[in-house]
Amino acid sequence: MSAQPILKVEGLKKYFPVEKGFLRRVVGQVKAVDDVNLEIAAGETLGLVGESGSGKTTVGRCILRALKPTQGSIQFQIAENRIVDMAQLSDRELRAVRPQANMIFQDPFYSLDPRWTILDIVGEPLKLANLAKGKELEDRVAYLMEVVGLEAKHLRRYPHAFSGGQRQRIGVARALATNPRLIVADEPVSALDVSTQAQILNLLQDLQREFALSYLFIAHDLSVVEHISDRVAVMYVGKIVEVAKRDQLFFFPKHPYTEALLSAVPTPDPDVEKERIILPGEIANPADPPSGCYFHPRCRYVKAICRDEEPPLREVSPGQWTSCHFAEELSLAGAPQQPHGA
Amino acid sequence: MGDSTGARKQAQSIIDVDNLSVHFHVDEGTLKAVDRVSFSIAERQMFGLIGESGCGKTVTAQSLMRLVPTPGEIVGGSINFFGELGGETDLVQLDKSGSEIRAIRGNEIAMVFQEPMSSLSPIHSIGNQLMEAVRLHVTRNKREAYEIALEMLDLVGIPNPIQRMGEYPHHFSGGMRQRVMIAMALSCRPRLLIADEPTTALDVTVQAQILDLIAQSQAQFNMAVLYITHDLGIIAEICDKVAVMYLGQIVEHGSVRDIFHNPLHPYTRRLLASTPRIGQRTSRLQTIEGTVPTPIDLPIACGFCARCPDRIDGSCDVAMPALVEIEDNHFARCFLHDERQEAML
Repeated sequence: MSAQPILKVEGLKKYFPVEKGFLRRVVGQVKAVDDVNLEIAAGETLGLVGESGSGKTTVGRCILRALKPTQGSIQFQIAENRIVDMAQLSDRELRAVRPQANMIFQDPFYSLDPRWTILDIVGEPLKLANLAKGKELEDRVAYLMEVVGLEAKHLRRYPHAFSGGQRQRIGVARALATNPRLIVADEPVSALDVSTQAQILNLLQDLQREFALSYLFIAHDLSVVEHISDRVAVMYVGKIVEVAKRDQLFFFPKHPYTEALLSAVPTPDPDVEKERIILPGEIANPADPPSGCYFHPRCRYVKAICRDEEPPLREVSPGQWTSCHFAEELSLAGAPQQPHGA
Repeated sequence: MGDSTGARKQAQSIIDVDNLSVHFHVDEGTLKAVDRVSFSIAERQMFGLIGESGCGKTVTAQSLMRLVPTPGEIVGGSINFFGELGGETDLVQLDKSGSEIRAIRGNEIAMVFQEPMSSLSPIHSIGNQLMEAVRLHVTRNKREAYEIALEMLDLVGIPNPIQRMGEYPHHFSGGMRQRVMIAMALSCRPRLLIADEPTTALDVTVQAQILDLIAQSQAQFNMAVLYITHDLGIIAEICDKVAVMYLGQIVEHGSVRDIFHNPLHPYTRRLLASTPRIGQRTSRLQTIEGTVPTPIDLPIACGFCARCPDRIDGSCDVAMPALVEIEDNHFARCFLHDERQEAML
């Protein structure tokens, strides 16, 4: 890990206006992302977990500037000694930066245009960035196909000829096309079966080593995030409530929400006894969040201060940041430690 | 949540599926979605059916309800359902839109589907949709039906049931809609509940709530549950017995402990090894090479043999192994354990 992070997000906010009536007056704000800070080192995988509606996808989209953030800075190191603020760039400037950061999408069935051949799909980012054309483009795409474990001779086939796992490999090849430094993978394996999921996870790990990639890995499946991440951030209603090194977060969580999330993951072992914490109610509405700590209505350790005061995200042990008033006092249960190997 | 007593194990079965085959007649040929599947579910049992997409687990469930969509057709086998009064009915023999199956479907056998949004009508209130099922099967009286519907909503943990009765599905979150679906399924006090991936579309914390609700309802209503999923973790947490499906067939079948601690079939073993587990540190996941073939005009061979690292050339690729009891109540379909072949038709 180098000292200089490849990506440094500070105070990121993305609000969506709530409009009402004929005149479309703005009557409120949905705070999809509210003051998020995060860092990714070169070659590192940061896992971002949270329930649907927690804002994790919006964070990913803001970082790639698929959405314009309402506020905040996104310092992205596009080359040695060259850092740009993605949040401030104009569309024109963005075009030059885009090849450095790409995205892998969730659904390999909807994210590939059925009327385009694999050559068109994987070659598009190269064409847009004027990096290759003609024979050179074809060679590059053929090379990428082999890198992700597909046969180069299938270049002129259409997506329908491939299975779900193979399509996701095509999505990975497209993300790799321009030799990026950062890949935002938004639920890249959640539409896949278990056996195919393992193939794609292994592929992503191999590629990371080979091409020195940094990943922002967004997912709701904690066991997948645990497997692939170096550090993990947990989001709840637009805010990061805990971020730490993987082992710290999974074995020694300091936030009650992390504890509940971990306990809710079913363990594929009938003899592992653990307490499943059933959280009452549902994730809060980001247009009308609760007072104080957003998690307090569902928290089983709630005290008076939680209703009134919002806890700041603070470093409660080295490298572990938690936003809970009682992070030091509570002794929370982590994931069941299992022996190494299958 | 295993069997409470040892004696319970020998409980009477509520449904016996024997040699069930369901074929889909498509342009490319005959797709064998379900191929000679046999299992039985005992009263009050939590029976898990696990497999990847396309393995035939949903079609199996649809057959029990006689809801196989066209061009699918049950081409062989029997589904014996033991009714409340001890009567035995072969569901395969019934007319699929006749009055007999309609007296069972939704009443004695109820189903909860994966996608709660597309299973509820967007233009009818939740109350009316619940009352429709009740009035069809339990009582004609509107007042009574209203009371039952209200009671069910309360039972599945929906706050403010009186107000919620008048609301529409789009007012409900995914987890709440799944609760409504469960309320609807339970409203006729079924003896068998089929749950087809009921939590796949839900978040993990909501999933925990729904699993809890299903387990509670099972105890409260003394019903058997057929739980269909691709998630090994859920099976390990809630089921007593498990059948593993691959390519339309059951490849392994046994108690949940047998399947997780002593898997016999190479597919089950690989499936377990390729699942990342929370709390476990493996640098690399095991994978199953290749992909599931389409079950159209397959050669006579073990369906898994092309992907199997342990295959025996000369046997696995020329004959179909039979599902054999290898250990006490633990069945597997694999030549590694038994040489008996499936009698091919």
